[in-house]
Amino acid sequence: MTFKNLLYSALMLLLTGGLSACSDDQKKTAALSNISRATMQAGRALISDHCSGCHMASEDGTFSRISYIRKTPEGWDMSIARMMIFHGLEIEAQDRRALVKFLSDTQGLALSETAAHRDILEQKHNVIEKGADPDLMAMCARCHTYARPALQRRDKQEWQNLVHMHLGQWASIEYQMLARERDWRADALGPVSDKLAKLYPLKTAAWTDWKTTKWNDMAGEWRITGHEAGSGDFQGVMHVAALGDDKYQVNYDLVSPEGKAVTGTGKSIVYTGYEWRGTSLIGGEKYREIWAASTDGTHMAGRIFKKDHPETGSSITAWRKTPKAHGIMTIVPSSLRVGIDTEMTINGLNLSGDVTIPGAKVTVISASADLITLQATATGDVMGPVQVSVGQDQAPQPVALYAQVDFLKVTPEYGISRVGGGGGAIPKVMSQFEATGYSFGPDGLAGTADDVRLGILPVTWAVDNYSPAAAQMQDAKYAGHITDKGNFIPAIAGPNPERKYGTNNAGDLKVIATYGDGTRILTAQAHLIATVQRWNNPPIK
Amino acid sequence: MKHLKPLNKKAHLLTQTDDERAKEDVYAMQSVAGCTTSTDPGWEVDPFGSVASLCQPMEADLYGCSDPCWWPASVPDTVNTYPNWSKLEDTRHNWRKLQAVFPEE
Repeated sequence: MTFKNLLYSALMLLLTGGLSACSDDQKKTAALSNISRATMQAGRALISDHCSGCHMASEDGTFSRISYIRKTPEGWDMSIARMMIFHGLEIEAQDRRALVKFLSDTQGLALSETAAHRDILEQKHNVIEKGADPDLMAMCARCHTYARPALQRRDKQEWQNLVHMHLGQWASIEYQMLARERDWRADALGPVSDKLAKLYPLKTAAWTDWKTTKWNDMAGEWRITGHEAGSGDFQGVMHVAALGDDKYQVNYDLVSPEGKAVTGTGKSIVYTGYEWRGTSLIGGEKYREIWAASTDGTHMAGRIFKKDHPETGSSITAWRKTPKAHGIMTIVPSSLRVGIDTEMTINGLNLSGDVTIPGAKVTVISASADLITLQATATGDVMGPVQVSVGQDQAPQPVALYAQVDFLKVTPEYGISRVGGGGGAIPKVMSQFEATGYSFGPDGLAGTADDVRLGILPVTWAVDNYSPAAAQMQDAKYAGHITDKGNFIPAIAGPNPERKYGTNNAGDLKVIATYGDGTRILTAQAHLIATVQRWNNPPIK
Repeated sequence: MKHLKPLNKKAHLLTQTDDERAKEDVYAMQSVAGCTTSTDPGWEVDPFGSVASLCQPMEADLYGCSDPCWWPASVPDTVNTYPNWSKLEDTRHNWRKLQAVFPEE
């Protein structure tokens, strides 16, 4: 072969190879209808720039490891953080953000794939994970939440790679409890990886469908209702303006649980076509938002919480305001006591028609398309849950008509708080409790299927020692105090020289709610572990 | 016991005290509890669902938690991941310098 022929052959090889790669690229881009070709190229360039030193690039545009995993935005951000910590990756904040956005959009999870673990994603505090496979719980959830692996998708080989990473990084993993009494490595690489690959595989119909579905623009007006634990229900409107690249400017006009007007502004970004992540300043307080939009883009739901205290927050529901959208969102309060005149608010969209509450007299005080205020009085002719309607729209939850509160429940049943402050870097973690009233229902018994939920009640709060050991250590004296709204404020961190052994201000406590109903006194209690701080605080614990 | 002689200061003090309660406390401290290879409480909750059997104050025993990376999801492990995290001479007094480790933006 002459030099000229060699050069020609090499040129043709490069050209056909390039064309072949380009053709594959075009096919992939065409399949990802929500991602532009320019975005794909920019995203791959980012991965190439920051990751290809270790993650080998292939001709088909994939990168070793990275291209065979799907994760939530938080999951991808934790992966990048892990590369920074483990391998010394240096990356500018804007590139880190862009990588998270690109990877979440191209290798994310469908809404249905996150549904079972949104509590953890939303950074809810007092969550006890239940229902998972015991073997997987023992393998994964003895150190971190089960949600952390369950919010990832991999094939078996990639799950096994994750096992190898764990063993290499945390060598003690094999001789901890729930590991040392078995052949941990064989179990982790064998049946556990098999189960994970079966439960959480890389390729799913849900993801294929979602990534080829046209994603929604979130701009517009949204009607909001929410519940602030310990305070009550709020409502209002959110105005969302598009800034481009799935980013939005947000203005809030809200009414607080106390009836005060509260305004705010914020910015948000939407990952994977539905994962709304916002930062906002409302009423002078900094918040973060972790919400999910419905697949048709008409509803959002999630949690808004204080930036510096993720444990303190509100559940929130947003409905997109359109001329045709209508319905009842919430009714506050959600119960009527027989013979007591009660002011009630119906929140919704484009409400019209008569308000009907079976078993109650209704007088409308004011009515607009999205908000009706009325006075209602239960007559006693009907008891228990009843269906409220406004015109053709029916409320999503019943209103309860009742004669008396029969018993209380305190939630969470098992709460956790953490010491903090005291000059240290980790803030206190509070624990918010609420007391819900119930009536027995027709069977006259508590704890049965016909119990009727009456809503959250104003109660007085107290804490006491949970056990004799706690009493001996005077935990209730040292661990903290509870406010009149049921918020437990833990004591400061650090050794306490006043306590035996100089122990921390930890405590094993019971939280007691007391409700006075005429001459009757009702009480209920929950368990609170007031414990030490943690220093690893990733977004998915 | 008269044929046994204390070998160290702590054992000597134990033989001298008349406080039976204090003796019981010392004996209890010799038993297997806390972060050993035999029983593993969680970082925040002990094996009995309480806090009484946690190693407290945890600042006095932090190296025992971070060196063998006992609770790597709660306490930074100093074996591989954060080798410099708790390089403090005495965490009982310097615990305020301990920082959270997740790299926020």
